[in-house]
Amino acid sequence: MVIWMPLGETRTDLSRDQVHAFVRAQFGSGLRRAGISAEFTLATAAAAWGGLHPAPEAPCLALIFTSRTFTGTETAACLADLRAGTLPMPFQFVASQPHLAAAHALGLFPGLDQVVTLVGPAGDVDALLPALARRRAWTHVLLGEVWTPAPKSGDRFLANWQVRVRG
Amino acid sequence: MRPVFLSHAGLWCGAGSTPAGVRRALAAMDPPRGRLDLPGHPVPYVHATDPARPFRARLEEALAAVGAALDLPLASGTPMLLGTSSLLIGGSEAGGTLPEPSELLAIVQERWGLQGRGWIFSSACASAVHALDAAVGLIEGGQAEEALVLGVELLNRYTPAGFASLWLLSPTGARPLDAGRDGLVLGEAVAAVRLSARSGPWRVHPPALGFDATSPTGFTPDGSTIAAVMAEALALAGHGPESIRAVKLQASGAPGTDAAEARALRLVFPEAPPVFSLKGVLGHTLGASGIAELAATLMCLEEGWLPPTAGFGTEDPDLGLCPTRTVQPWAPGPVLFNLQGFGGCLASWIVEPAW
Repeated sequence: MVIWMPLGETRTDLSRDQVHAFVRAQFGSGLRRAGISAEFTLATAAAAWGGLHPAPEAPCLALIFTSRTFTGTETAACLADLRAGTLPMPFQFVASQPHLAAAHALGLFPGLDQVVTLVGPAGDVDALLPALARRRAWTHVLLGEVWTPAPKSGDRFLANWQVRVRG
Repeated sequence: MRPVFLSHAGLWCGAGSTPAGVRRALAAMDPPRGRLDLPGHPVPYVHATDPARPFRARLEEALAAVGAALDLPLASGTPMLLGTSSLLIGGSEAGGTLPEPSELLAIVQERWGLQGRGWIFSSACASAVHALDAAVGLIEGGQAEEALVLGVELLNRYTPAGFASLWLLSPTGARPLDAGRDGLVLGEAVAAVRLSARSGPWRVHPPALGFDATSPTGFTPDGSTIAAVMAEALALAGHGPESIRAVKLQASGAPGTDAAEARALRLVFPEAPPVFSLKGVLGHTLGASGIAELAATLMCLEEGWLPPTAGFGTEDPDLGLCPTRTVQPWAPGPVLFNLQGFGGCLASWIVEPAW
């Protein structure tokens, strides 16, 4: 069985006000048509990936992330629109779909092969990783958990990413 | 790697809650029978049960119907892999009854007597196919002897309202591949398949998964990304295009996506096999659709026929593709399943009779 060895771990804990500056620091600008949850997810993943020295040459990368709260901020906004008797704003709805971060990820992570999104704690993925990685040429896996402790208020955004390398 | 077999499939959806009911609705091309009154957007919707029933009651009804088709009990340690795109949102909308993921898994496991590990995938329309891929991997790699894969998508107003805000829903009905197609009709479904390393009636080959980030709701118009995933599925199954006896299309009635899929078919198949779409009867069941449409198709194949494509009437000259219009005989052999999802997820996989 393939062993996925951890190369490093990056923890991030930001207030809502800090997220946009963090995203701009990673990507040079905000991500067009992405909600704050997707921006936070991808910026923290990019920070973890960018922290690797030396940078892997020609990686084949999987981005696997889990959450117990996911896009709580965007979801709450859409539900408020519905309660007020109107449809949600289109890109607020798009931003509320956790996997939509994948559509942005392709242009941000060279060598990205697959994005997998699970509901639950990150530790749950360990037992599944060999099954997900079989038949695939992944050299690295970015494995993370992102969450907002109070999804309705979205006050704090936390992430914990590990870079794993095929052993 | 070990081969993976499928022994049982259960489905609860707008077409029915028993295999006989689903077959009857598909053969008769029963149209969607419900509506949703979204703000400013009354739209068709395929209800599986009385929408006024509480969320938990609908879930319990679905689990009872699907469980009856799975020849329970399974070994108590059987892992369960569940795909859903909006279950948690639906629970939240229903008045603060949001089931935690662990709660949802516990409900299903308790009903079906399981104590193994469970995972929930949330990858928009591809959720249940990502669950299927992982389950096939667990068995292929020897980590499990059996696995249960579920797709769960229950009615909520949130998701249809979001689709309506993007102008993706048809105001009249799903017309897959039809010249007059004008959008999706959504539906609810709970479906499950039982996979095993032991020989069973169907061989399930590993899904090919891909990615197309052209836009959140569309795909490369020339079909090339969809075709690449279909070609990979053929390679994973060890089949050439000439071996495929039918293709279950994604074809949802979305103008651009149907066109891209039709072009992909032309790229992969010099001569197209019979093709069909189930969305004119089931609706688009989003995160559950990968397993729901697999289960519905197998229910027809078991009796030796391919379902007609409800909602299709007039061929679109730009597509040059005419799906089944009536019940067609199926010559037993490999069937290719296609799925293209919100956010750029692509999947294709092959199931063939093991007899």
